[in-house]
Amino acid sequence: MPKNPTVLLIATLDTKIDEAEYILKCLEDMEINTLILDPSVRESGKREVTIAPEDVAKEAGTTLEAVRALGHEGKALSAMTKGSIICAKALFEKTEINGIISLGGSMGTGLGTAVMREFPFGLPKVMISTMASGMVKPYVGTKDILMLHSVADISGLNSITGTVLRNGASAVAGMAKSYQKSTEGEKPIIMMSMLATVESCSRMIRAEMEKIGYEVIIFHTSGTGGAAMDELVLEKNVAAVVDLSIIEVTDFIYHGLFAATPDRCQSALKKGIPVFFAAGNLDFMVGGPLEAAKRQFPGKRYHVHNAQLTAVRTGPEEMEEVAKYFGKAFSDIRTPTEFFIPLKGFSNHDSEQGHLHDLSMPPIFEELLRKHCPADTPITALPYHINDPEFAVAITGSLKKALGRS
Amino acid sequence: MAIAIVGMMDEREQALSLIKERIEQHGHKALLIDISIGTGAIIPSLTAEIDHGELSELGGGPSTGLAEYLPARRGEAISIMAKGLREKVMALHGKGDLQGMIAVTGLTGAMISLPAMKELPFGLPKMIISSAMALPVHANKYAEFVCVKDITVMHAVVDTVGMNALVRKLALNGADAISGMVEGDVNTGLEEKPSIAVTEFGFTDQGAHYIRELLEEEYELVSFHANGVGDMAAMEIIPQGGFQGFIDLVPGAFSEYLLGGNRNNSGPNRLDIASELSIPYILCPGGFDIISCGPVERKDNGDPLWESRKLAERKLYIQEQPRAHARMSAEELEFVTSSAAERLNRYKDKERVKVVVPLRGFSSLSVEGGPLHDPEADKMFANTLKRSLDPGIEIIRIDSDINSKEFAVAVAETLMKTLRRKSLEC
Repeated sequence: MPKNPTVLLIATLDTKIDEAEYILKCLEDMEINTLILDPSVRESGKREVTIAPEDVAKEAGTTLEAVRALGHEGKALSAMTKGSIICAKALFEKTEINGIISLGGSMGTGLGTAVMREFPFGLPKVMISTMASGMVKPYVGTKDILMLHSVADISGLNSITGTVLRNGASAVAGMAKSYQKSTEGEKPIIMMSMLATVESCSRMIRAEMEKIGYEVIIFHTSGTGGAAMDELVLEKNVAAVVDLSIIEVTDFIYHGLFAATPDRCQSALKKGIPVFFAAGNLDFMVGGPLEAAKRQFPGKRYHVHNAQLTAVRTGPEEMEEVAKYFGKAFSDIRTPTEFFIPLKGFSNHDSEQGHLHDLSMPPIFEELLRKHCPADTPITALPYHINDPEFAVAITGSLKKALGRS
Repeated sequence: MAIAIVGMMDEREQALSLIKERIEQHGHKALLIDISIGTGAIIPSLTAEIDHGELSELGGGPSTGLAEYLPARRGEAISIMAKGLREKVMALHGKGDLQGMIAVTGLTGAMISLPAMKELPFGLPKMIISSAMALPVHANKYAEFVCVKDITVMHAVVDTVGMNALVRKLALNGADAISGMVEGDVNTGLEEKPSIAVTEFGFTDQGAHYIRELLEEEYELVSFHANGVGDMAAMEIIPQGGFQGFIDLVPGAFSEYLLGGNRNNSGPNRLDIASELSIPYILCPGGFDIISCGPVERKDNGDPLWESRKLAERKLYIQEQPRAHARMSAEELEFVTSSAAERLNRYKDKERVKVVVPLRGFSSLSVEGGPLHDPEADKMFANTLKRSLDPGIEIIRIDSDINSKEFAVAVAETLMKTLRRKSLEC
């Protein structure tokens, strides 16, 4: 008989004792062992816990009295968040944890998800939150957190909060019961970035690599996907990376909506695993609704993708900045790499059917990239569109060669 | 009874198939619903119980599916599919066939699935796995659905196409979570008391706490966070019934809408929540003293709200980032109050409507010594009310602030009195 799974509950018992005890009861009903981390500031000692507020403050390098004396909600929260992360990670090292659940309003959600984001992909994480509607990016970051919207305030137990808390507890229990620490190691992994605008290319590469025994993991480069890929490249055992969509670099430089991290596209180069780039989606930046996009990027060609998003055509100036960016990234190459330039267009928008087609641009980018990269950088310009089969075949060829599979 | 699994089989067939298998392993029936707007299922061994053509037809499109609409009429195809799915899901629910719903989608699939999830009743497990839900640009669009319902959003991180170690974990976790929720007893096991709805926010939490203490012997209080989004949830849930009374402690979303503050999501009809109901409705002016206007950097950016209302010249309370509040002026309060009175005057049954006014501050920010203290402006509320409110609506004045015990006692007593009168009528 396997032993019961264990779930860590993160709850501020000074304000949420009834709600927390109800979750504990639900979990115990479902035969789940529980651990409790209490990052309360106002009061401690409401019940026995695994990690008390005093422990949290201590790990943050302070004391609970000193945190209270800050007299500032934001500063107190940041100290308790820091301490909670250290305590939770230490606990995870010591004992088996098969899932994490937390509940809270704006403060509690900030703290609970900050702890969850420190835990590996796949470990069940449930955040029951008043803030789980609308803007969840700051809370989920690059992690697989389940955000359960509480609808009503989590303040007191009633038919509405009771239902939501029970559903959240049931979800984490369901996941924790069958959670296994790792399903890795079955097949070698390739990570690939894309957007729908270069999907044909990505689909062809994926099919080809799956055929010879690889798993291909796809990331959507709309501001979080590329950052998540870069993070996972460092964290996981990855055979190779194909960065087909570099729009997050352009958008970071020009404050477009798909901006990600300042060091986008560099993880594989730093880690030293094979990485292949294509100038996918270099033809556009992403602005908001048309009017806003025109204000932000005046005097450009625009394509209204929908009411929220406008694709804004890039020119030589933007391409030069991107070329410089990659020039720096390629300054010290220690791994098989190659940069592919599709001379017939960078994306669906930049194609005969698209609204931002401009055949004069790819050769300009080729020249700029060669100008800013070290002379020995492998740059390959091909007389195809990025979504032409020949282009995918070329990338796949180099990829296979680097992996010793050609 | 079955768990509905929703997704585009021409894109995410492998994840969908794994979820189906896992849900069945847990001993539940799975009902696969294909919302493809392209060509439909690819894996011949996997067939959807409900086919995309059927949904297209239900939504007013061709019974062969919507592939011919692409790419030119994509928007139309999405609306047709969303409508078809909503009708199908509600029909299944109407027959009592649905235990839960899980969708695996990108952005398009989310826009198709969320309208159906929003229609399902509160408490019925509903979950969406999507990498698109964390996109800031679409936050408002999908908030329309998620903010009023208990939808669980699982951030996928990776795109859920194909099959690999990460997609496998997402699919298994999703299937385990929805199965867990379905297995978890829907009955909360809590003692059932009659419910009273209340709106509150951080600057009135002490007052709300006292009110809860005074009433909790007999009632359970369901609290809605008056941050604009919580107001939308209140607008959706309270009119559905099930509450014995409604204490609108913080109707600030109404003033924020009128003046252009940040908590304005609920739009012009915020004060009509209880207009058609027959339960006691107690209105207090919580939040009618402030305009939520953070982040403070807007001050220097030529922001229209800051410029037009000259907020920089007022008393300000700068909380931690990104929150900031400005004091509402007497003229604005007069405008807000007369607009509020106009709304209340339209209520049919006026005897059940009461306004309780705390004369010494409408939030913790406006009490004596508080950063936004302005008793002269506050007076405008009671004065304007007296002038413009229908005489059939009673006004109770309390010489204390909104977070005081005295005020809470007055609110609780007013509610109890009105409830007793209602029960005598019956």
